[in-house]
Amino acid sequence: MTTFPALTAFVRKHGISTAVLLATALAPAFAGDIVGKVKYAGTAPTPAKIAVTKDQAVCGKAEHSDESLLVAADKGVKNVVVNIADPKDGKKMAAPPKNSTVDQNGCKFLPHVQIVAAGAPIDIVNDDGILHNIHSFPKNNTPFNKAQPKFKKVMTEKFEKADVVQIKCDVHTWMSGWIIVADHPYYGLSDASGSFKIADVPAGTYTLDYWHEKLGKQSKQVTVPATGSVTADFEYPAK
Amino acid sequence: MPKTTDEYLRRIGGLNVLFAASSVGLLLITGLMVYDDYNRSWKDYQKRFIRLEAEKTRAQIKSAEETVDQKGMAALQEELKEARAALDQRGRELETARKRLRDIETANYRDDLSFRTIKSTFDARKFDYEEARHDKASSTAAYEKEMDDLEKRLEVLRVTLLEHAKDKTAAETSLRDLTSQRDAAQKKIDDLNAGVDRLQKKLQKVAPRGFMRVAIDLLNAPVLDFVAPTLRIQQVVLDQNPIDIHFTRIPRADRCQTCHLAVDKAGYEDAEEPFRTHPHLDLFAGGSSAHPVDRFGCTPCHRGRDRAVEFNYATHMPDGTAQREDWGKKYGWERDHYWEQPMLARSRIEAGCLKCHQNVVSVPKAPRLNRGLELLDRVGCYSCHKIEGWNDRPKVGPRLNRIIAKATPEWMSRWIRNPKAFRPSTRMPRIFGLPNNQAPDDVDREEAEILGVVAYLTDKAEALAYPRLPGKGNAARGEKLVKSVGCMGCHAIEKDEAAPGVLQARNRREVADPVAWERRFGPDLSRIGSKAKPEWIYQWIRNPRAYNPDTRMPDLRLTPEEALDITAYLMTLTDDSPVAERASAPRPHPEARDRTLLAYLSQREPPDDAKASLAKMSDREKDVLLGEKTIGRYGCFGCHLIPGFEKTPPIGVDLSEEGSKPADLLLFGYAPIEHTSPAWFFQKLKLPRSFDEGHVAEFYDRLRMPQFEFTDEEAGALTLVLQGLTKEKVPLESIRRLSARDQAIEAGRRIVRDYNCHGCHILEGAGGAIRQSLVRNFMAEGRTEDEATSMAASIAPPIIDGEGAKVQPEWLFGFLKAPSPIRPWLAVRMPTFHFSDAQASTLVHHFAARENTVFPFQTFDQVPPRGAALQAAVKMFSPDYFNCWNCHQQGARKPQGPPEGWAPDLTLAHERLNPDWIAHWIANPQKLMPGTKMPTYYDPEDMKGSAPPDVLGGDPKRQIDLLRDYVFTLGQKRAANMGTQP
Repeated sequence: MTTFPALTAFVRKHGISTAVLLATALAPAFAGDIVGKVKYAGTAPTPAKIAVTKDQAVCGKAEHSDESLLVAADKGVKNVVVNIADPKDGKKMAAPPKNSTVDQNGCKFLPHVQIVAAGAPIDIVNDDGILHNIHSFPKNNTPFNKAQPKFKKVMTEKFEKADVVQIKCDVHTWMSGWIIVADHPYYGLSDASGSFKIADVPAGTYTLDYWHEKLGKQSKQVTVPATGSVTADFEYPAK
Repeated sequence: MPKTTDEYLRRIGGLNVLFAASSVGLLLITGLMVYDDYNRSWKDYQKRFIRLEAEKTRAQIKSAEETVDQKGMAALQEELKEARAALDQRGRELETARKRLRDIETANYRDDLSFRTIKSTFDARKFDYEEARHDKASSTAAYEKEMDDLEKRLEVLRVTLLEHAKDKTAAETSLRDLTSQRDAAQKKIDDLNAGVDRLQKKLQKVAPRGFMRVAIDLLNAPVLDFVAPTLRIQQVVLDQNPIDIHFTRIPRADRCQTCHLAVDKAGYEDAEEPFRTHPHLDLFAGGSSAHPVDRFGCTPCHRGRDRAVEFNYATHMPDGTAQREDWGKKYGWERDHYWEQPMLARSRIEAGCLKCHQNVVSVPKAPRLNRGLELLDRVGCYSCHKIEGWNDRPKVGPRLNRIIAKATPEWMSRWIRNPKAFRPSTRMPRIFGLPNNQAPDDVDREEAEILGVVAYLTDKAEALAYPRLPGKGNAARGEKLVKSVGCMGCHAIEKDEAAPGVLQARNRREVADPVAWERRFGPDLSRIGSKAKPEWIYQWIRNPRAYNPDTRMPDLRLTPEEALDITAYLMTLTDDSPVAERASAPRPHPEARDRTLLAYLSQREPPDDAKASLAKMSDREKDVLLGEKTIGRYGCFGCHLIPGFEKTPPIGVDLSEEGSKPADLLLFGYAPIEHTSPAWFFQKLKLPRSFDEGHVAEFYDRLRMPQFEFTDEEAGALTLVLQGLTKEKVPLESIRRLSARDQAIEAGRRIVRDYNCHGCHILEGAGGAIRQSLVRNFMAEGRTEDEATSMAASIAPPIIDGEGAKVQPEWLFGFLKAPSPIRPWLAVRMPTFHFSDAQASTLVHHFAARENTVFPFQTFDQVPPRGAALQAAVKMFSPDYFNCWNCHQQGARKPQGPPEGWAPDLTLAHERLNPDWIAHWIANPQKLMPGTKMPTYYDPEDMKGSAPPDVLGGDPKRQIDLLRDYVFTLGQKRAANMGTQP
């Protein structure tokens, strides 16, 4: 009975759904993590410099370089999306409490690659104070191409279906970013060292997809243990 | 036993037996006749359909009953019961009210009758009075008095009648008040049951029960059924779609619906045949369709015997062997030789469209027929065969009057020998080396003939030699140009675009061509460097019309440097095929040549004279003469302009009425095929010389049609067209007459087809084939296919649907005549087609007609914004707002950055665009051109919310109108040439 007032207070503070989520997460689940490192077999390319041809005053503040293939000294690849192709529990990816954002800052999309929940609102922020247009190239969702002049600091968009969406700006042709729309939670994104983690995957055997904007999509099988983690390293062949 | 006597010359007993037996026999035969006459297969179909309809109606009743709210119904029944009980309690009151109403009605009837009687007497007296007064008779006064009396009585009665009416209304109201509750409940129940009741009534009609059923059985009984049977032949008489029987045109009497009972009724889509609804009820048979069954019947399109009511007699045609066998078992089907227009098999039904849908580029909803028409245009069947409707089409092959400037005699001989060995995708068919010329003598003769043709062509060709190239081009730059300026809309370089395995499979006709159809409009360039001389290529691409004034190859306005680069690149595209697969150059065979020539000459003169004239000729003369004879025999001049054959009529048989030709007029020879005309057409298209097999004939009497290497799909589509070319004359009333607007659209479509606009542009949902090449360019740079596709979309030639609403007709006319770049970021160029004024007008009219806009003159009364409005417009254009000049060109002022990021010059908008379109475009560019780089400023779902709040009160409508007016003023010289401006 002593926990009861505490629980009530928690629910009052964070809402019932958070409490339920927390309870689900804390429940003794037979779930493990998938961790790993993605590497590139070829020589690490030096990202090419991009010439800023427009709006020098804003876009030219920082140097621009090609972010489409970022390989660390130990060959780890950044921005690889790793996800389970065939989840079995039908769980949906929850929208984050705060909207995901795509920031147009110094005529770059920040972050370059990110994973967002299907149907969740995404704030598209124009920090540059000049005209940008956000042009999406989805496969499963409806494409849009919206202008974002100075007076429109934030626009909110969403993608309803799982997808890999490139976003570009036609005003500044070098700008490119990717939004990975996920309809289940088992997604991971590799960091600068190429490491990724997908947490709390129910035990079982899955197909794991590795996607990279330049290196393409590859798959492999992985078996997740009831507890602990499984390592699913991957190496892209040289191009 | 009575004997024959004088009195009885016959044995009566015997006669009695004979008569008795014959009368019994006669009775039996009569019975059999009646039975045979009565027993018709169509009656069984009608009975089956009645059962089907009844079943369907019962199912509908059931589902209707299920949808009736049972709970509500019970409550209503209860309500009705209560209302009735309440009414019963007030029985006396009700009775009194009813009696009162009855009494009033009786009194009313009586008084009304007297009123009418007196009125007629009054009218008679009035007449008498008028007559008497006119005659000044003495009876005038008496009549007048009588009239007055009658009039008084009439007035009394009139008032009484009015009172009766008033009383009646009151009585009715009080009666209704009494019964209102009950009536309301009953009505609610009836309403609820209305659907079910209607269906019940229908069921009673479809499948009557009780007395009606017996009555109907009697009406349909043998012998009695001549009166008014319910089972009867259903027929539509088609005066406007007559049928030609032995040179007489008589109205068709289509009886198909005798068995196909639901063909024009929706709801039987899944029923088994013959009861299925027409699969395209919106287009055929349905009352509101373009071809309602009462006007068009069935056989005008499907063919077959119109009056037949029996399966085989109707000449149903099976679709394929499986169905034929199935029908053989089910109906004892066999082909009816006595009807010249058997029904079209299901997969061949589109052939029926062509007799009415003539002079159109394509027939709506007939994809296979359209494919055939497209092929017919492309391969040019009309070049050798006269086909009504294709009379004045241009020749499909290049003119050969200057060929020596283009290709070498060696290449020409290899090409003529087997064009598809050099270029597998070529339209040029194979003429030599086919199965009916395979004897050793034939092989030598054909080699001699090929050399003869080359000799003739080179001998007669205009001596045209091009100057040496003015410099050396850069092949790498040339390749970039070829793959970006637009060549790839009509041409392909297939070896760069598809894997060798795929191409080989295509050559074997196992897989479809990996290159889009539109890009086969011009020849594949994979091996062009082994064919054409560089000097010729350079001159040709710079100005195709200089070499061939009839060519449809447009001019891309190449600079000399560009042309040199392209020439350098094209010369690198040489024949890379294995030597074993190439057609070898023919060797001379003087003996075979002389023998062949002798055979020709002997047809006209005695053999000795022929020999003598031959002996006088040089080798070259002999070669040229054999070439002339060979060209004449094979009719090369049908497709090519050849000197000396300019006026020679084509050699092929007239195909205008080929589809009406009965199969027995076609020579099947020993070909192992079904003896039907479609089977013959198909075989002729696939293996044209195969009908010679087993026949003995001199070489000049053998079949001459060349082999096109059609795939089964192509030959099938062309067969459809041939089946559709009939001698039937359709009365004008039955042909859809195109409105002026439709004619304008159709005329434009013809030009679109002839100039292959679809190679570059998407129009009417088709085309844009050049994107295929652009995608491959990007993929060659390492892009994924998705990425390449979306990138290609932004640099592809524009989608031109809606052009009529977008641009001003005068501008479009000028642009078509002399294109100038509008989109600086596009590498691809709109070519100069050298359209005639008539062609350009036809195209402009086509676009205007499609959008229902005015052609050819339009005025625009846009008022240039001034003062505050002008300031607002400038503000919206400014960098902090829409920043339009960031991408759009402003006359000579170019935007920053590379041209890929630029947008059209807005100072040209007033000359080019329709202001209404500008407003639509600003409001939602993605809707008008999906994938455009022009961003959406106004969110279509929240116009107000996305508009700049501090301009014109944040009203998007006013803002867009202002932008439209402002854009329309840009670049104008003080609005001098603005429509209604003073």
